Amino acid sequence: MLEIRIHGHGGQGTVTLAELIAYAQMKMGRHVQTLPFFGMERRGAPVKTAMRLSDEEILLKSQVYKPHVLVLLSEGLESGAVQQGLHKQGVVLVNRACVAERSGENVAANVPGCNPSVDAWGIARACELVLMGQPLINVPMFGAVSRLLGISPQAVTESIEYKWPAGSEASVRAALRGYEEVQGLEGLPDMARWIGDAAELPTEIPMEIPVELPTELPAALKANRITGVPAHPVSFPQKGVSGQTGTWRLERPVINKDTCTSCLLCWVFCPEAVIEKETLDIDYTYCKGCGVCAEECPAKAINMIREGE
Amino acid sequence: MATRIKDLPAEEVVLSGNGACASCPSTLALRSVGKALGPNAIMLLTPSCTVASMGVTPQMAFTYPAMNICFATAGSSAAGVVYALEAQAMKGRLQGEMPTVFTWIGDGGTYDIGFQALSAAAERNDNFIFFCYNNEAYSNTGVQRSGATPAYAVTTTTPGGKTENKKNMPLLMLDHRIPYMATASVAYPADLYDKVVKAKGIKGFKYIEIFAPCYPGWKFESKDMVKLARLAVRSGINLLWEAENGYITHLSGPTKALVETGAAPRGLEEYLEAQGRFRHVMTSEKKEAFLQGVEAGVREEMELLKGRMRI
Repeated sequence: MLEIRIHGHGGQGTVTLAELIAYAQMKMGRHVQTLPFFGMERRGAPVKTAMRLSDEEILLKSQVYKPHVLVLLSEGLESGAVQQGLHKQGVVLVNRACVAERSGENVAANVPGCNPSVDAWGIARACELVLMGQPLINVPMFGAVSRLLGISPQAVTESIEYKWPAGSEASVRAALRGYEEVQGLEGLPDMARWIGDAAELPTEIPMEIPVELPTELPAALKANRITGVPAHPVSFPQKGVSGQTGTWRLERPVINKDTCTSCLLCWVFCPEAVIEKETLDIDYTYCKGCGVCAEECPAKAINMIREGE
Repeated sequence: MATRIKDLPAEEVVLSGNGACASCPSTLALRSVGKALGPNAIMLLTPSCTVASMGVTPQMAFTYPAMNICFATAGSSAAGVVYALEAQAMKGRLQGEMPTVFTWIGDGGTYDIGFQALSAAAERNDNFIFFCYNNEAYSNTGVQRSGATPAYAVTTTTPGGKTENKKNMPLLMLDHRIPYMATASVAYPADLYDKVVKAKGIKGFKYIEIFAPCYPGWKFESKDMVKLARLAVRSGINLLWEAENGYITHLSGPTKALVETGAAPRGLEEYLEAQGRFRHVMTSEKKEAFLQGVEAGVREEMELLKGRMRI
């Protein structure tokens, strides 16, 4: 039984990717589970979905804690949380933009096993697979995952046609390009044997990344000096309650100070309050890249530039 | 004299790095509201996207003391806070300026689930501001239909398009004859700021509804959030007005020209075209009838407003 975990950002289609893999596996007569992780699935926030594949009936119903295969749809995913529990000989398939310079951290490089990659962003763009301004990277990624798992191109095509009976041509084209263009397959283990035979699975201890807990608690959370009872759970205003939300961003706004007229519309319309009123500096640690500032700028002085370029 | 954008205070009540979607109209509206209310305020929230995005104890993304309360209880809980503050002041335990109490509620907690408590608080004329940010669906739970969802809009519970019209909540509140109420839009932040400043200075129950286009819910590109809010005002879908004691006393922005001169609404088709939730009807042969129906609805709303004006 093979376990897969897919990480991405809300809106990139991790759940749909898992469904597509499941259709293809079922067409090959295998048993499949897809396990979306329910949390707060906001657009852009880190999300994950897990899968189990087996030749026999799957009786385990828990979340996937020790995946053999990681699929990373997006750049800027937090390194520790993504690798948690991955088998040391595991395979990490990344969307190539994921190996971006931005975070300075290459998740796949920390894994000794096989690290294939595919430029899903570029393929989706080239195949004009764009919805609401976002390239549908999960479709080329589906092609790439299929190559890893030994799914035939025929099954890839059929799964997409089953999922989207109308207008699936661009999706099929993108998936097949993903299938062909996946790189770095040297040393890829025989996945069919991993799926079919539990004895073939890697047995080494999974990677364990310690979870860092905050060391300094606010004063009100510390126990009362006299009674020893913890004080009431009081919250304090803090930046970054959802982490460094700048990692959610696919494109970053850049202000051209030469053409900027300091009308302050970008400042007033920023939903994230990341633009400084006086200097118009953008806090890229937290900017989610929604693009409202660039759209609203009357002087067209703000450009949206793809991350990593 | 309306406030200019440049004169809005630089203080922020919404801190960066919160859990809202990119391009969230709720945090955008709350920024303008916070600039107007100042630091001395208490916030109450019922379950909504804002609660999901405000963070988990011990962290919070807003600078106001906030209470998370049950879905149906916005009006009664806020009233309780107001009475407690008044009692404290009476006993001399609360000195200086009284904090402004306000609720920050989505359309579900206003139009549907919270309506009874809201109506009761309005009738008692409790001294707080009830804000409704109206994104026309239960977006937090994955976009289900609400009483604010317009006809034909696709949600997860109306996959073929909603068959009923939305309620006219602002007119319902108008008939509560409350001291002050207003409708606003995220695309007109200075106008929203002025309205909140005015509401803050009035004693009694205040209701302000803010039109807030939700891009995952309505299915449009995130960058167009403010543009769609502006189109909604220009096309008359969202009419901007203020009312005191049951009569409309002021029209602002493009609404003034629309209602007073009878100018033709602009950008209605563009507004509907940009939204994926109307695509099923905008790409069908029913498109013309739908557009005419929406425009007739807009004109009817404006006629209703005219009958209540005392400008």
